[in-house]
Amino acid sequence: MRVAHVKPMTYVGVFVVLAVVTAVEVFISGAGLDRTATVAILLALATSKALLVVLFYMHLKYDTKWYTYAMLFPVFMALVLTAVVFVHGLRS
Amino acid sequence: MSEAVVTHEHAPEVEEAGSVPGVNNRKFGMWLFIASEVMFFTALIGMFLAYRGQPSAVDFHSRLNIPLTAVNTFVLLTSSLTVVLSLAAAQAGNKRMLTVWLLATVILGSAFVSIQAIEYSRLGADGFVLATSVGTSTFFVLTGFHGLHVIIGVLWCLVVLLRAARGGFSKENNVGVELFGLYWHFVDVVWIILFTVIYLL
Repeated sequence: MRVAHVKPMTYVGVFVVLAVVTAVEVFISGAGLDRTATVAILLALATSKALLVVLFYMHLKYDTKWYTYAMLFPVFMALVLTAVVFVHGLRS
Repeated sequence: MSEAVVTHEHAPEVEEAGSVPGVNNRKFGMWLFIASEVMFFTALIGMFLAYRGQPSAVDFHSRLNIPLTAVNTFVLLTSSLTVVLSLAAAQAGNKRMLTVWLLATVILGSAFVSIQAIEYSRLGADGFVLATSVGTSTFFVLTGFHGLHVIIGVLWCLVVLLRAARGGFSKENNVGVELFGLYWHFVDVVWIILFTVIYLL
């Protein structure tokens, strides 16, 4: 069995990025930017943070790709559903 | 593969007949469970998004305490760090640091739930409870189910901690720590999404 041993300093580095990005998110949400820009930037930052946790802390970057394949369908369905609801919300 | 990673072969458990090479069936089962959890939380997030434009929901969302929740987000992110450090300690055969990091996780997870309880009680004092409006219903159901996942995670962490303290894990056998970690990080990922969708947007 393949076991990925990631150095603890890599984990700490990821944590520092997550913490800094969170602070940036809070700042942007209150900065009074254009609404569309705020939504786009915040969604991009949240997605980046989620990917960092999944790739490094949950080891999808290092583990066999079978675990990633198991996630593709539900994540695709999740994106479709939220996109539909989001667009519906913009129109109503 | 980056320099930070050392990948090597070893066999802590006998590979099960019929399993795909390189796939740990317990980890794959955990990933399938997480896949179902993705759909579960997607349904709740969809529900929240569908009603967030209602006037009662807009009024309620403007009263949410962002600084308090930002602190709580930081607490949960820190707990994810302590969980991966516990796994690193287990893989290094360091029983002492394994138990220290797991104990830190229990404390941080409990802190998250406690701060969420403070948030709920403050909202309740202002008259916002589950049945107040469609905005409060979607909010409490979504964040409540996430909080329940954190509580279950803390209990699971206590079980792993007890096993670690009894010397139940080693350099070769630490999948039990990793399975708990996968669940915990998933709950963290859900919060990363919820913090943005509920509080910041």
